[in-house]
Amino acid sequence: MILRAFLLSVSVAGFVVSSGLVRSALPGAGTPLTETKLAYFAEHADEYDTLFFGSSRAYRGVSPEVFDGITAAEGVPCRSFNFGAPAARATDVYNTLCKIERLHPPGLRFVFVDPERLQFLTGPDDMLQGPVIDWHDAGTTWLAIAYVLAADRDAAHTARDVGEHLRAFLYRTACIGLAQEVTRSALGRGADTSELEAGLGPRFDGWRPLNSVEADVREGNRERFAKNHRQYAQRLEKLAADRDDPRPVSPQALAFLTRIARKVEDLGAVPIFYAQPGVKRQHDLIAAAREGAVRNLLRYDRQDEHPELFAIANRWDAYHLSEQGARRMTEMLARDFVAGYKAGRFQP
Amino acid sequence: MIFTEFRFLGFFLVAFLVHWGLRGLTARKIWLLICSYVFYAAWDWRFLFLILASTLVDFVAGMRIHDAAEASRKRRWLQVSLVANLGLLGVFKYLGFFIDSGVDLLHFMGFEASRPVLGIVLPVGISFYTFQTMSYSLDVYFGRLKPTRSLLDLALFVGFFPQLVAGPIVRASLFLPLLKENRRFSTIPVRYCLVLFFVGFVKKACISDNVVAVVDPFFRDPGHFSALGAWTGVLMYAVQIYCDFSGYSDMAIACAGLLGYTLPLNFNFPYLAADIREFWRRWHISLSTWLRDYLYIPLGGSRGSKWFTYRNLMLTMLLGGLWHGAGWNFVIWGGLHGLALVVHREWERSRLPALVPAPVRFVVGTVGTFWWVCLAWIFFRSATFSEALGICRSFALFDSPGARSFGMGPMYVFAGLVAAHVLGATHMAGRSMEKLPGWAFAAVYGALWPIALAFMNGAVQPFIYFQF
Repeated sequence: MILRAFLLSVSVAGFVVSSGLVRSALPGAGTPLTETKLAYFAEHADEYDTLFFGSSRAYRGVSPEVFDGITAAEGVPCRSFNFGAPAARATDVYNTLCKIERLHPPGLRFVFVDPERLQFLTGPDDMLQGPVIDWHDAGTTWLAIAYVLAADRDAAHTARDVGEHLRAFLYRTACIGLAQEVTRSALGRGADTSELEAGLGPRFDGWRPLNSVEADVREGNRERFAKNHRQYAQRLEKLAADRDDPRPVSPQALAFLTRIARKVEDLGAVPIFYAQPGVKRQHDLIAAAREGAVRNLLRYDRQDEHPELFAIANRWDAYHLSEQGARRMTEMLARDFVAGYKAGRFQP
Repeated sequence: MIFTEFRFLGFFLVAFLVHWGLRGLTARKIWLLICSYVFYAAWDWRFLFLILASTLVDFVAGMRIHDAAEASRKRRWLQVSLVANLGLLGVFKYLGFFIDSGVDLLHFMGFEASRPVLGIVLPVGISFYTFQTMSYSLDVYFGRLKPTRSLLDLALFVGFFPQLVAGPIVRASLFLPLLKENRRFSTIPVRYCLVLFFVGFVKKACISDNVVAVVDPFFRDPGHFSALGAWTGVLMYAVQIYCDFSGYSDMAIACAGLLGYTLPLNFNFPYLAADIREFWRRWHISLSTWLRDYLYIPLGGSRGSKWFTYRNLMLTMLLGGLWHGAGWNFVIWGGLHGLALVVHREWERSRLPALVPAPVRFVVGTVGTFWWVCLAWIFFRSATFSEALGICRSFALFDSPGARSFGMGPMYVFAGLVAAHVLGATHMAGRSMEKLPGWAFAAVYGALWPIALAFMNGAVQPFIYFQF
């Protein structure tokens, strides 16, 4: 019995050591777009001092070209790159920041983060996708499980979600699917490189605006939006009524926002959070700012303060700005940033 | 539940630990039967009744055949077993096919006929366990086996979970004696089983599931691919089906071995066969020997004229093809193999082999056999007959209307897999692993898993042979 226990322990030790080596040797399983952006950034890291992070709202909604133009004109010249990627959660943002840290970018000064969707889980179907497995390290998994346990949900849902997080953690520990991109490339079925390069945007700054030419993205949302502006108006009304939600920030969300902020600071940059215009309020982010846990927050999510960002003319759909809307929001963001910078708010 | 899923790992761990924790033989058998039925019920519990019915019929038939004094009574009970088992197969697997074929024939003859919608679901593993139960009754009938008086033993023989859904097809004469002996854990070849499970896992999860990314796009739209694309698609399908099925068999044999039961070898590096007869001695061995013993030999085998033998060969292979699936493509696949076996017999009967030097015969034979096997796979995999013919034109004549290809990447992967296949046939790696001291084996074994898991396709594909 003792011999069997010893052999089992040796086997487990072999597994753990090997999985560590495999993880360090193989690239993470980020989304193809994020990996493309990382690869591009790795080659041009010394050219940029400002980065934008977030989901498709950031990817479609922040124009580095506009931002750089305005900041230069206002005397605070920046060179920015958009790391936004569809469906990226705060956890994905953190993961990408860790990968950027390994690139040792020399001159980063400002990192803008739109931590949209601070929830850790979107649904069981998402759980076994490479990027989701990728962020399930021990610390983040624990935070995610604590977040699930603290949420006001029935026992069955809670048990399922906890199980899914544990499964993703196991998958990550076991390196499952970590070499998928290697395999795909070897078989000649890697991601379409021309499509990915297009994902970098026309100016290779990571921004790919939504406009009438681009009918391939979220076509369903766009069609629904175009047909039913009334529903959009109703959602905005609900959002306005929801304005002063007094709920405190969840401790796990707070811990995660703090982790993101610290990681940005480790990169030698100033973390600046921003809330984009949409039909869902980011309670945790706003509550964290209200309680003083998030220092720098720029808000564009209030219709009464920024009505033009909610105007149908500036929107692609209920979630995303059109190209024109994105340019307008970036102008506001740049001007608010410059004002804050000059007021000494965004100093390291 | 698929062998490459985590939930199977959990299921097997529980089955394994409780099995070896129990002391009595009967308790262990009851536990394994419960596990087997739970395993099957994970797909569809309703079809458990089919397995139970098949088991009960053959249990009764086996005893009646043995106890009957008159030959006519024996024959009648054998007929009961065959009708019951073939009836199950006929209804659940072939009814739709026969009705469709009948309707097509009527249309061809100019009659009006509508196609009824049957909506029959194919129960997983039905082709495998019905063949097992039939072999039991046939062996009892021919006096090769004494029937078991234990329903538990027969139920476990039919339902034993490692081989229940995709073989190997186990003979009762081999399995039932194993159920008489209560084994000790120290007597089982643990290392061999662990290595075999690992090899099977790599074949299925790392190779077969990944080459799907080439095979599926090709067979979905073969007309758009160049000749190189067609070669890539077909070669990768040959890789996929071999790694899928032999990987499953390896894992099944390993799981059974870890529970103390020895299952027969099902694959023995078939793509290294130097002729088509050898191929069938190496490919899906449990089926080919079943067909030989229960179909080819009862038909008369080679005990007759040349043409009589060829007829038997063709019939056996055509029915072997039909066993795989209810479709004419499978029949054509079987026919191509039957034709190759006939041609090979003619070749062997002639003086030609003596004129060709042995090394040349070996190389040309191996490459030629593999090429023919690949050609036959085209019919096995294609959606329609016309598509299969188009792919054959690309594959055999390099004549293709399309221009798409997968580049040379998959060909390099294929070359690497061929090298691994040849190396594997030497059993060098396996032997080296078995010679390691216990602690070194444990460390290496543990260290190999993350490497394999990294190459695993996250989207687990069902085993191809589950559909048969």
